[in-house]
Amino acid sequence: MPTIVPPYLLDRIAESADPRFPLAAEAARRALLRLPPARLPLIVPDAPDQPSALPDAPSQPDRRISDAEGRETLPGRLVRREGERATGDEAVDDAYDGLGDTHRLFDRVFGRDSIDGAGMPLEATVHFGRAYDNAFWDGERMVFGDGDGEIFTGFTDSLSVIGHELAHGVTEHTARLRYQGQSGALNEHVSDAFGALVEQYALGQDATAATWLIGEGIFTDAVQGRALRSMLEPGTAYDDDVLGRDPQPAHMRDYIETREDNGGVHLNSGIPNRAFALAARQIDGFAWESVGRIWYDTLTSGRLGENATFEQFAAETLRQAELRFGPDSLELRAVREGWQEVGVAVEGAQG
Amino acid sequence: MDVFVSRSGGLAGLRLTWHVRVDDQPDADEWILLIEQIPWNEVPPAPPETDRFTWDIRCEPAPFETDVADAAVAPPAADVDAHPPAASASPAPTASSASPDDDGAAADDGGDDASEPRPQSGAGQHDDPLVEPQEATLAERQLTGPWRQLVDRVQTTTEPKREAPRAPRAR
Repeated sequence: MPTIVPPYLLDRIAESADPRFPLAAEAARRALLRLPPARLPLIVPDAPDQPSALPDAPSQPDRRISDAEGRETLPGRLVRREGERATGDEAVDDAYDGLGDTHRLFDRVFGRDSIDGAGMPLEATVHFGRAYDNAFWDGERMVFGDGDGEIFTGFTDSLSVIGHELAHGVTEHTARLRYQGQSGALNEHVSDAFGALVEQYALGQDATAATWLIGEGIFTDAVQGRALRSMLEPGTAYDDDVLGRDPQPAHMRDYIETREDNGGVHLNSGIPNRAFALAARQIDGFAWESVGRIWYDTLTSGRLGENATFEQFAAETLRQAELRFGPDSLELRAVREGWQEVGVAVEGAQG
Repeated sequence: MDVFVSRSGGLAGLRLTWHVRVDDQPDADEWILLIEQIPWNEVPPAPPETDRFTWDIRCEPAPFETDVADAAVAPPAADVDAHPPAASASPAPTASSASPDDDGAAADDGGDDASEPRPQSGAGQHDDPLVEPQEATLAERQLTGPWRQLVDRVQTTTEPKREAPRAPRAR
C-alpha cells in the first residue's frame, strides 16, 4: 500500500521522542515497515538484517572525489575527501552527494556497506577529458565527463547515472556478469535498476510516482528527449533530429544482434529494464522494498553464472521472490508477469 | 581511399560514424603516411570496461598489400579464455558479420557512402588484395598512438552522423 507521506518524513516522526505524539510515532514506524504479515520474508538464507525504508538515515561512506582537469588521466587531483565541505565546483559536489545517496541505499536497504560490502572507499573522477560525452566505471572508480554542452550536459547532473556507475562496481563484486551479449545487457540492466532505485530512494518516490528514467537532466535543452533511457517504456526516451530515436527494444522479439557496443549491452538492457519496472508498478509501494530486494538477492545469490542469459536471470529472480515473499505473494506474481510481458520465457519459481 | 570510423557504446549507447574520403583531402599524403603506421594486426587484447566506448576503424581499400591468409583474424587472446573479443583486427567483415557502417552514410557526402556494397572476404575472393579493407575494433583504452591520431584527424575533418545501431539481424 503506497503512502502519500514521504518516508523520510515518516522516519523523523517514527524516531520522534516527543511524548505528545506516541500514536503518530508508532503509526509511522508501522508505515515504514509496510510489510503486512503475509508479505514478510519467509526464508532469507545468509541475508543481512535489512532495515526498511529510511531515506534520510545516515550511512558512513568514504568518498574521494578527484578532478581530471580536462585530461584523460586517472585518478586526477584529489579535491574533496569524506567530511570536507563543498568545493563550489558543481561536478565535484554533485558526485560527492550522489555517491552518498547511492551508498545510503545499499547500506540502509540492502545492508551492504559500499561496493564490496566492506566499506571500500568510493572514488570518483570528474571533469574527465574535454567535452567528454560519457561516464564509466573503470574497475576502481567512477569517471564522469562534462559533456559537450550541445547535446550532453555534465554526467554528474543525474543521480541515476551516478547510481548506475556505482552499481557496476557492486555487480563486479557479486555476480560478475560478463560484459558481452545477454549477460552484458543484464549487467547494464542491473545498473539501471539500482540507479533508478537510488533516485527514488533519495526522493522518497513510490513506483507509481517514479519516472523510471535513467539520465534525466543529462541532455541540454536543445535535445528533444527526456533522458537517456526509459525503463518503463524503452525506445521512447528521446526522438531528436540530431540524436535520432531511442533505439532500445522493449521485448525479446525486437532483441538486437549487433557486434558493436559489446553486443548491444546498452540496447538490449531495455528488455529486462521493462520487466523490472512493470513488476515494481504492479506491486506498487517503494520499489527498493520489493523488486529492489529481489534483484539484490538475485545478484548476491551466488547462483548466477557470469554468462547468465535473460531466462536464467529471470528464473533466479522468481526463485528469490518466492524465498523472500512466499509462493503466493503479489511480488512473485508481479515479477513473473513482468518477464512474461517482455517475452522472456519463465516457468514457476524453482526451489 | 576511404576511412570509416564508428563509435558505439558508452553510457548512452549512441552510435556515431565518420567517413572521410582521403583522396579529397588537401593533405592526402599525410593521411596515407599516418594510416600506414597503424598496426592493423597488432591490436592488443583488453577486457571490455563498463560504459566505455568501442571504436571500429576501417580503411578501404587497404593502404598496403595485405596477406589475407595471415591477417585472417587470429582470435584475440581474450577469446582464448572464452572472453569476448574486446579488441580484434580483421581484413574485412564476413558475410555474416557486417561492417561498422553497413547502414551508415558518408559524413562528407561525396556520393560514395558507407552503405554501398563492399567486397566480401569469403573464400575465393582474394584475387586483388589491394581491395581488401583493413579493419580493427578497439576498446577505448586501446585508442592510442597512430590509432588516436587517425581518429582525431577524422573528427576534426568531418562531423559525425548519429545513427541507429547496426543490427545484422533481429529475432
